[in-house]
Amino acid sequence: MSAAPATTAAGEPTAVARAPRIDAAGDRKAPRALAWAIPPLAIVALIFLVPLAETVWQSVADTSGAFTGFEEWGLEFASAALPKAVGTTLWIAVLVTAGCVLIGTFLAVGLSFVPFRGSGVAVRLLEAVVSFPSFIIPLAFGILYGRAGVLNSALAGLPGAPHVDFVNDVPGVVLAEITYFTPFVVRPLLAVFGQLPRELLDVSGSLGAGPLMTIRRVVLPAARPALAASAGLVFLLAMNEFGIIMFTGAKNVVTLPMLIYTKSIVTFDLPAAGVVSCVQLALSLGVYGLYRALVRRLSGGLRAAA
Amino acid sequence: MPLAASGRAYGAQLDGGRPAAVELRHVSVRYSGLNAGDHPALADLSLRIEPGETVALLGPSGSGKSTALKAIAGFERPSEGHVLLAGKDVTNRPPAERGIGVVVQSYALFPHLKVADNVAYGLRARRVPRAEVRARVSEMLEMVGMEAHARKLPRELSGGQQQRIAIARALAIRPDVLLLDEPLSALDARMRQDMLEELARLRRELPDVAMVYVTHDQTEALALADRIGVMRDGRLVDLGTADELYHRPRHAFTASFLGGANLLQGVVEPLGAASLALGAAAAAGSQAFVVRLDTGGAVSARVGDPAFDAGATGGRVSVAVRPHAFRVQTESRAAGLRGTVESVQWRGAGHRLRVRLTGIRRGGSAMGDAGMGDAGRVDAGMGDAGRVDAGMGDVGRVDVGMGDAGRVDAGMGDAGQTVAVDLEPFAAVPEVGAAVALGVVPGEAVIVPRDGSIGGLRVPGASGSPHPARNRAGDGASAAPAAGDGASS
Amino acid sequence: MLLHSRSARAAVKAAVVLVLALLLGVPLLAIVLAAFAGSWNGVWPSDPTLSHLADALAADNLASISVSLQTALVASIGAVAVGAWAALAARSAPRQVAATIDALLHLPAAVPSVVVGLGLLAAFSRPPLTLNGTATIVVMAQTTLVLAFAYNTVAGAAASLDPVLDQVAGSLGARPLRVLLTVRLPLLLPSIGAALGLAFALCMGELGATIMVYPASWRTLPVSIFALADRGSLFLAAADTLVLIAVTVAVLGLIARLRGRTMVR
Repeated sequence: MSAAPATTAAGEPTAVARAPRIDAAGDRKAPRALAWAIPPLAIVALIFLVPLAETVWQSVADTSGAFTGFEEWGLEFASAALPKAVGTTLWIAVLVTAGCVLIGTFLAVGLSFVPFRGSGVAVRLLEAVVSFPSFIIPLAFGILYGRAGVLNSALAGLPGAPHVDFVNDVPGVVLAEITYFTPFVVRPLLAVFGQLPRELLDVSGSLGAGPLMTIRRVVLPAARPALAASAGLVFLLAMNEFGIIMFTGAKNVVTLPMLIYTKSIVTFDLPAAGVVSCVQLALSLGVYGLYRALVRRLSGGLRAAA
Repeated sequence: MPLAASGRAYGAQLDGGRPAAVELRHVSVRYSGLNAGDHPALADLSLRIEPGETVALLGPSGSGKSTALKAIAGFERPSEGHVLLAGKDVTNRPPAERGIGVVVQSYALFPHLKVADNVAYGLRARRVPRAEVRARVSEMLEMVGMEAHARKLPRELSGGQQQRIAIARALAIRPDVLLLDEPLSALDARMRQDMLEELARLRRELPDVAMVYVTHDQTEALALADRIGVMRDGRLVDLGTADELYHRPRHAFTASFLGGANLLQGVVEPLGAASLALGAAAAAGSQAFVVRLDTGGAVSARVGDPAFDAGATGGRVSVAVRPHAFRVQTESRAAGLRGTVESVQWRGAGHRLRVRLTGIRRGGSAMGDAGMGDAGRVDAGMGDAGRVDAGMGDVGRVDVGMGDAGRVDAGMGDAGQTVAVDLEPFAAVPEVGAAVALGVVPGEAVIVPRDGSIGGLRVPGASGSPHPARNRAGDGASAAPAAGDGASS
Repeated sequence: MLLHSRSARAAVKAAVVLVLALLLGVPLLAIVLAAFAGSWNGVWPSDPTLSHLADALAADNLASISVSLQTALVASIGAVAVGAWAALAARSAPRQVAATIDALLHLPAAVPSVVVGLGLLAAFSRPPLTLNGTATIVVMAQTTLVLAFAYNTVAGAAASLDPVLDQVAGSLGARPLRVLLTVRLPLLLPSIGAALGLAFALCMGELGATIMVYPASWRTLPVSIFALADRGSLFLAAADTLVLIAVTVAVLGLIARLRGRTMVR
């Protein structure tokens, strides 16, 4: 699962709230509208909310579902594994976000303002990649830069060349995630830059600003809301990422999702997995809440400025 | 009963019997949410529209005119009041049950349906037999001259063509009431003129359909409407035939919005009368009053609204003068208003001046009424400060006048007012900076309440006690328009 | 024009191309080359072979492809149905309710796939509803994970629909159901199609939740690929990935063609 096109989510999580409403005889229609909302909400409750609640319950119950107490919580918080996993998760997310923002901004500016033959294809490819399975990147990294990969085979022929081995550790995971998530930054930026009037750049230039000043004073300020939103999104995705780390086979990169997987599938310690899930949920939902608030404020600010 | 509803608004009540095509009774619309608590989008609107009548709701954006239309269509639910169609209360009925034709600003053609299917939409919703649908669609398309485009999609049409389809679609259901919300505003100037004529033709072809036409453009309202309702801040400020509103505006706002009148502040002469029921005086025979302007000078003006009571404001009134009603006069003649030309704009057919009023040396009213006042007196009374004797000596010297104006300026906030003046065709054009005297064509200056009284809207009853005005001159026909103007003209 | 100097333009272009190549070109190329490589011991692969691809299409793997296709189709159609319904319901609901629906339907995107998987295991491993070990639980996992994207796509389009169209349809005498069927749904069809394609592609590549819940009898292609990669059979895994992408693209093409046929616009 890549959570890919949340890019689209980036722009408009509040879309519905903003939508103009039809208030014709609103109060009279309200009950019917509520009735219409029940079936989809019931399904979401069954396949999503109930399982979430069960996960939380699992952390304080035995396998039959009876309440056993908070012992498991104490155990998990006392162990070194959980805090370490939290640290690793956040650290990787920070690195990935920073990398994606830097590379993504560079690519978006380059593709928008210094286009070249084939840049259209590149943009299309960037857009397609987000719907590809996320594991193609670690798989390709394994083939290219793995211990027995192409790069090491090539380097082996050269005398004195180092043996490259980063794929199965934090750098490999971070690079793979940056590679996979960068399009999430590039796409919204391209959209923003596409709407930036060319005249602004021309005027900036005619007023004596060099390219760097134009980028700093004209281009980037326009992109700030989109950049902030996509950075938040990438942070969330990186925090939740599982497939890429799994595929990298980095045994010593234990993030929260990895810990949950290990506890539940490998060691069948379901209560422990429940506790870790609760921690992960708290973090993810907190970041998600911040992200939504950020997007709402930024879009609100834009509307106020308009 | 709110202000504008007196007399004119309820004219139709007099003809009894037949129910109005549309009747709004004290309808208010308040938007829930963010702006709740501010003034309502529509406040206490009462309005009757007879079958076959066209009423234009005219006002600036945000005046509530579109909200009124939405309340009739059922797109907006009134928070108070009732909406009646042909005598039936439909306040709580959805749009689908009202059978009203609606043409919106954006046309709102269904983008996925061909032109013919758009026109047929309402008929299919009513399960009209297929053959009849086909016949009615081609009839409607023929009526708007779009037969050739039946198989096209809306986006293949120009703005004007889409407009025609939107009208055909609204008329296909044979509505008794057609609502048009700024139907021409999305068209370019030329197209607008053509569509205006087209609408006038449709109007003639559909003698039984009542139309409500919402617009901010007075030309459209004057061209199409039997009656015009002027709206502002969610309220109906004025309602009457185009002729009434144009020649006898009840409010400063009506005068300035319809015809772009200049508003000059002043005090009705003679002073000393604490309360003046001008309308009653006018009805009793006097037609013209002299109004001494705050900027200096005086004009002879008649009363627009027979119910207007200048006493409520201590005789303080506005005088509305349209740009084309001014005449630039030679310096030698004594005249009512003086000023300097600030700018001259050539408009092809004629010239428009902006003249900064600079005070007066002779308190004469316009044209032919000269020499009535005592020279050298300047009305400086913005508050009730009374009148200041400026003690000017030389009547004829411009420089004194200018100097005086500068001095007066310092004392009065309003003194620097500029007015728009349209020159007569082929008249000599003064230079920028030239001092000019302005006269007003007789009968073209109209006394209206000061604009400040519109926000809170004059309370009914205040117009009660008729006070005899001191100034009576000549005899005049009753200025009060007959109330029964509701029927279509 | 941002850069007027020819050399600066050339430099920036070169840098962009280089980053793109490292980011996209090289990994994708590596997967394709590896899928056809007999061995790869230098800079370029050697001994081109079709045997990996043949293996990827062998009976054992065909079953995985079929499982993936079925799961992804059912899950994406389910997710789009629920998401579109919720989007339409939110649009005509009172503001507060709409905000609640919006928040709830976006929520699955914020929850990690492993937690979704674990939740399903926790909820459906015992009566009343024992789904652990069935294909259903895999479908449920994927439906949940793509729900937010399906909803978001349709809700975005629904929000940009001109409400005046609904009003005018109503004024022409159409009841709400007719408005839904003749105005709203036809206008939302493009976004529903897009949501379906997106959801399908995501389901086809889903690994995190699937690997938590899949039974041995219902193994999707990504799980097989993971097993291969874990064993070190990278070339075979690359071949399987190519097949996975090819099948996905083929179905997306089919959806796009269906959209093209049903859409008037």
